[in-house]
Amino acid sequence: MGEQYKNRIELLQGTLDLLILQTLMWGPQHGYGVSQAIRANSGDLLQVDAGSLYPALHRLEKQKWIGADWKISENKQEVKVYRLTAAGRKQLMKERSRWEQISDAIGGVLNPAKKEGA
Amino acid sequence: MKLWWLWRKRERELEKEIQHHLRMAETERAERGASARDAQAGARREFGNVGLVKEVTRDTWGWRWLEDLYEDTRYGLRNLRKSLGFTVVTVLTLALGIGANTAIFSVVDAVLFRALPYRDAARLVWATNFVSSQGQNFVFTDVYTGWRTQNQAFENIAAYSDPAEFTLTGAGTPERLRGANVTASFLDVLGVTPQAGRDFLPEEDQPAGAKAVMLSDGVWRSNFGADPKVIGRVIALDDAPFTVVGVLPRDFEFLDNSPADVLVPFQLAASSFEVSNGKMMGRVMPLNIVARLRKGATIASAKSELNTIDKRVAEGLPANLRRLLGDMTGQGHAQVFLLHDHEVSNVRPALLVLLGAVGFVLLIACANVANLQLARAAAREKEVAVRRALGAGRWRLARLFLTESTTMALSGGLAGLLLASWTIRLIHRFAPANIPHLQSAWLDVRVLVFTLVVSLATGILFGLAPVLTAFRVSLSNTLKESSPQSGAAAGTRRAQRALMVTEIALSFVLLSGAGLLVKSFHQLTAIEPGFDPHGVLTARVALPLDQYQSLDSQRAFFQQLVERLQTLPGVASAGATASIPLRENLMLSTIQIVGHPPADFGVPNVPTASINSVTPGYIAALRVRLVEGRFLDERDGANAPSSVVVNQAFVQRYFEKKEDPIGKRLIANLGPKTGGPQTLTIVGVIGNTKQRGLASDIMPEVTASALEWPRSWMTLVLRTSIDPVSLVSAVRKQVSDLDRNLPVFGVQTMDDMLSADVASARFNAGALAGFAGFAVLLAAVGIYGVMVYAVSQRTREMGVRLALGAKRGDILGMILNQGLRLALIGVGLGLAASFGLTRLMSKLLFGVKPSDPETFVLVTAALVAVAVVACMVPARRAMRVDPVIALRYE
Repeated sequence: MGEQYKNRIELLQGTLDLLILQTLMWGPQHGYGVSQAIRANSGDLLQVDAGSLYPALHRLEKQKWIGADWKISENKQEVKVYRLTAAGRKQLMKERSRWEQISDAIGGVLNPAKKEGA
Repeated sequence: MKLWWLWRKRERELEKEIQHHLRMAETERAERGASARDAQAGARREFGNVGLVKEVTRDTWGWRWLEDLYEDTRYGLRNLRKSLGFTVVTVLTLALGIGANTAIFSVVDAVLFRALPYRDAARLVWATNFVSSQGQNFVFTDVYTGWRTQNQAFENIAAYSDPAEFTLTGAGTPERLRGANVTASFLDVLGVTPQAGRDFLPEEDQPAGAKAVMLSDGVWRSNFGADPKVIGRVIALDDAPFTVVGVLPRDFEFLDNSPADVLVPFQLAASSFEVSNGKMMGRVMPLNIVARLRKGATIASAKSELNTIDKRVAEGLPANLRRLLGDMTGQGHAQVFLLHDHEVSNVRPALLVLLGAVGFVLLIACANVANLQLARAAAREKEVAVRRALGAGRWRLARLFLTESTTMALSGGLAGLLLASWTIRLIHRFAPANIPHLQSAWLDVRVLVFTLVVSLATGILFGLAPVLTAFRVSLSNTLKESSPQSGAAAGTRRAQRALMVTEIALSFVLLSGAGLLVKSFHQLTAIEPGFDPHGVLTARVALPLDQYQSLDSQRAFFQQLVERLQTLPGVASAGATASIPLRENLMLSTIQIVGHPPADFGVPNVPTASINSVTPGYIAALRVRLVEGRFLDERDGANAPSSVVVNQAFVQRYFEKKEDPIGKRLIANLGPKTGGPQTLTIVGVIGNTKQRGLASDIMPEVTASALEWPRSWMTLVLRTSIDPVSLVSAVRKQVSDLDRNLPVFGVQTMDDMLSADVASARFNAGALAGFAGFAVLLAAVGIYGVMVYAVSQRTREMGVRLALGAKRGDILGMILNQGLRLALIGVGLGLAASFGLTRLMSKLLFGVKPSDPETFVLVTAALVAVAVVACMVPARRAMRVDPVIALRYE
């Protein structure tokens, strides 16, 4: 248990939104699918717990960046499936460029020499 | 409701979503080879606390407050159900407090706050001249003419008479209608348009104008079957032909709280003075003036303008009248009031006092409920501490308590509405008739909003007490100690004592106010009216002047009628009188006593007297006292030398002490059609009777014989040996036997008349006494509650004291002492407040000073007694404490 938590990375405020929006770029997905996709794509490094995921999904839905539809799954269950909206796509682009700026900036702070050299 | 449904739906969806998540995770684990049990447990573990996830998700919906409210309310209701007795007491207490407030507010709102039912009523004013020498308001025709023609301040101005009565004949049985004379401008000033027909024409209020009449909606419906063709029809009022020109709107209300079945034009001459032989025995008619202010004009500007006009009017009159009028119209005498203020001026003080009183009652109810809440909060201290320890914020706790208290307050408000609806019905039934617009008092939207606001405010007010103590709860102490003597207990005790002192102080104020009113009422009813009212029936008859023009015919009619009534079985004596005591239908005349220096009309206090005219049976029928000489009898008929009797007030005012009034002569005007002033001889002196009501002063009175000087309007007075009311139909029959077209009206026993005279005082005293009684009851319950709590807190201490040898009497004394000390502080504060507040009700008092020591002493004694009784029960309980049990007690 302890090991597992050590390897996990606390997500920065707003980062989860970015990850969710990015995940939904590949197509509509239900909540569990979103969490599994983030986990798989981060090489098991990012585990989004349900207590963060669902509030984030509902918040994004309220902001109209993602939409939700109820569908019937293969095993005849009602499933809430989220999809990216046009506004969400725009937001994703904005967030992505902001993220890149931040990550550049942090990179610059952490490795000033490298930056100078480059 | 829709919101609720939506919320439930989203809740269900969230549940489904989470279940799906878990199932997917489970399936995946199972696919990877975990056992079914492991898969389920793993999925759960990974997911975490389902409830928490749901809650934080729901937070994003932005409905958190709603959910909290729902939770708090549910929790509150559960709590309230758990302590049902407490809840019932609280809700009932609040219901009584809020109900009383709602009822009184609905009355005050209808009477004082709502605009009068006329167009743009805020610009309507009532104007008069205050005549200081007469101590009353008085406007006569010359002044009205001046105001009407010279003012700049008014859009329009109108005059109307005091209430008048007319006999309607020719439409079914003869009927007595109430109404008034109004100038042609009257309806225009008020902004009222007839629902059918037209308004009066300007020429119709001229002295020789056509006789027109306007019917009320009620008369139009009941006497004319709502006939649309009634316009233009000629009807007979007092046997004179009047043409119906219009019908008033259904919701029309006449002024001064007097009903108007008909309105007829006020045919006023420009001047009311006639001078014959250089003598002035003036008969001036009092006018009431209503006017509509021009836009931009103010009451002050109107007032100063009217004063200027008054001066001009006085200057235009003959010199010998000017001095008299100078007094009537001098600078600063004109008065202008908002019509609304004038209409309610006689009831405003009483209503405001009642409103204040119910406010106090509600405060006491609040204090009481807060006390209960405190006691309960003390019991719930542990629960509060546990909640705090589990992370409930202070504000969350405060909200919890406030939700609970407002839930109770709203329930109380709802129950209060029910109570109020009954109370308003009671008020409609028992309130004195002099409250204008009372009939429109009901639970309308304004009143409902008032109740809602009061309920919410109440809930917050009494909910704050436990909140404030809950804030002081010290976590570690409360949780560690098992003793109830924890941190908040001291705060609770202080708060409870403060509330108890407040309750006693408020009760003191209410009780002293009620005491003063009750005493006033007693003073009023203790007044000797000057006659014996029991077993006396009165009824009025008015002879139409067309048929009974001569004094002879009037005299003959009443003589015959009284003789017939005298023979009715059950009648001890019968008489007729022009003016009956307690009713303000006086005729006044200036008088001159022969042999005294001639009266100067320029000085204030021109000698005047009320002029009455009675048949000989009057004195026996009313049992008025004969003080000296003889009463009028059969000898005083048409051809005898005019004899009169005077009352004691007359003798006191106009004769020297050693002067014997018997045999003296005086000159007075006995009424219209008497051919001017007459010289009369005084043959007797009778006791004073209260002419204008018990509270009013007695006027000097000259009583002539109706056998010589009859009037067309007389009141029949019958002293009966049986129930007076049983004679009503016999009296009607006797009158109609003499003249089929004569209605008998104003049938009333003298007892009823007396009781109506004190109705306002009785209502005020009764209402305030009721509220005060309720307040004292609440205060007693409050004291009892506080003392019970105090004793329970000190049970262990009592045990120790008893074990150490204290006597049981000492314990009793100790508790009583504690309670009484608080009671006395409350009484002291209440006394101080009463000195200030009872002065506000001095207008309602009669024969009692606002700081009446007797009342205050009684109230103090009563409250102390109540406090002693309320302390006694818990004190005796403390006395009987068994030390063994007490020491084990926690």
